[in-house]
Amino acid sequence: MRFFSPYFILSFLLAFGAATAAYSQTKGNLWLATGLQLQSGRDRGFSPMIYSGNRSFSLAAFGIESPHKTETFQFEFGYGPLTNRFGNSLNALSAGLLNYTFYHKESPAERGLHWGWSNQNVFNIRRHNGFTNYSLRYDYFTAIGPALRYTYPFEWKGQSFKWQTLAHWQVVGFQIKSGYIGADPEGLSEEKTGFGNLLRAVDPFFAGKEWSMGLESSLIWTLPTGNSLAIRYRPEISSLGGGQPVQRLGQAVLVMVTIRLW
Amino acid sequence: MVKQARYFWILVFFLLSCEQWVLPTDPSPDPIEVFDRLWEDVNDRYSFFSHKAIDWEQVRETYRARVSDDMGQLELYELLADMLFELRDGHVNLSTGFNRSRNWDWYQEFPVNYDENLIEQEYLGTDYWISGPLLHQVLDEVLYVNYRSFAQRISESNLQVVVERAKRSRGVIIDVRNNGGGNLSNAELLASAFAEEEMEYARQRIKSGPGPEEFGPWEPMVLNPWEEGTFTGLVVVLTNRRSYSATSFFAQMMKTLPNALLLGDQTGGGGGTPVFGELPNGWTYRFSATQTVDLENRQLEDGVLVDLRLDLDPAAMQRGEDNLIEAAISLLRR
Repeated sequence: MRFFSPYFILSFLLAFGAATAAYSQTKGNLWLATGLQLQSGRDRGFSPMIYSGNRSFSLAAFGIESPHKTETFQFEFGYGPLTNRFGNSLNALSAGLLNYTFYHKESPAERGLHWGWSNQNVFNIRRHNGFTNYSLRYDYFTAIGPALRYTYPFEWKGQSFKWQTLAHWQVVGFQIKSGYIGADPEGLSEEKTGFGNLLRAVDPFFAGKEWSMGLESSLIWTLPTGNSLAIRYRPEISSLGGGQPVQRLGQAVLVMVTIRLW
Repeated sequence: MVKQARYFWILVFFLLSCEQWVLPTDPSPDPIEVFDRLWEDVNDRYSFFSHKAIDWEQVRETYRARVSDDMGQLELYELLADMLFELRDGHVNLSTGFNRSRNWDWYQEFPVNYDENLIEQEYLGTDYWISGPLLHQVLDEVLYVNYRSFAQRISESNLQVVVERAKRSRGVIIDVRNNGGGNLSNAELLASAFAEEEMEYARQRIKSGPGPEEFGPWEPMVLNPWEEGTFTGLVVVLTNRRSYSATSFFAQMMKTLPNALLLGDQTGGGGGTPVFGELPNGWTYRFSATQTVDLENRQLEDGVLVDLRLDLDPAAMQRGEDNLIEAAISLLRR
């Protein structure tokens, strides 16, 4: 409680006000969304079988829109059990940070097609419920690639709506994946220096050998307050090669609230 | 708008058409496919082909000729079980729901050297202490501890009781005969109560690729003294051929300690940690995917040798004695 003293809160509000003034040409938005994701995946380290199921999926995003570009930082979280066609199950958790930057110097931000780039960072971990040993496996990748956004505002029965679709394709980056048998990546414990081991465990991510791409398509109803409600459909695929390949396919339907911050 | 909306539909169509390409459907559950999957996975991940001089290609030739897509489930199970039996490994099983294949040759051809009724009647008696899975009784000023499965968790308070009683005795007998193994962390916890200092007791390596000699580096397995206090007096560990898997690891830990010795018959082995797998028809299986060697590079898969070799004597049993326990008591009272 001592940390959150009145002086600290006052300092924070002053700093926040100053930052907001500096961003007077910008708009700030916060998105909160939750829903269900139908996920299917295969980890050859566990099985040649597909495991699929509906799991909870949520995201929180913060966006800054300036006259020439829009930046979005989106944190995502999914968790739930997946089963194969014989009823064997695993629990799958994922957490990620997906960032977009779109440029709109030549056209208004509220309408039209905008190009940009994206950066995706995803950590997936799964525990097999039928295996006593080596039941935990995980993977992580960070990659960048091009992104596309299409926004179409329209009115219906006197209400303001917007249809927005974002697409991203990850081209180059790096990945860390569980080993051939165990949870730890190959090479992680070969030397005593932690950093050297970490470098040994990292593999490149190249489009063609690895894949990660997705869409986020939203129908947004803008309220008179400037806030909005939306539904979002979000298909995505990813595939990591090398060692024991991991493939994943997800389709999420989310209910979303957008809060206008400034 | 119409022109630009085309981009969206092209993207959706492209993404959905990737499904089959990114995530192909499950493999067929036909017997030939099932056989090939099992053979291939064992070929890629099993860890003892070289050590046991097993020609797995030859095994494939022998068994695949007998597989056909019109064979029944029971017939296929028996064929796959026979093929896995060739690995001569107690950590290999095929589980089908109606049966589970196994290889128990590692103890079935050897002396039993253990009589649980005799121990209960003549040694544990009726007033022995039960501290979790540890059954213990004082015999001629020596603490006798019987532990029947490393799958049963030992809590710190369980161990505390045993250590306190051990400190008031002239030595400890830990009987892990017929203990078929379980969780290695229980083995480490129990052994740590008798370790005076940090000690490397074995080295382990794990398969890192499909080649028969593709392994990660050897990594030391280290035993640390229990932080709550240890008993550093004399300890005798009783083992037999049914002491397997985590029990072999426990025996190896104790063998490394300067204050402990092993008495009885060597352990059954089980030095490879099993990895699990799944077949396209839903059957699951496991097999060894690691190798563990002692400090003299001897595979724990072949069992941990005892310091004093002794079999249970039928004449002693007739007299109501377990001559292994009697020998251990004599050693500790000497």
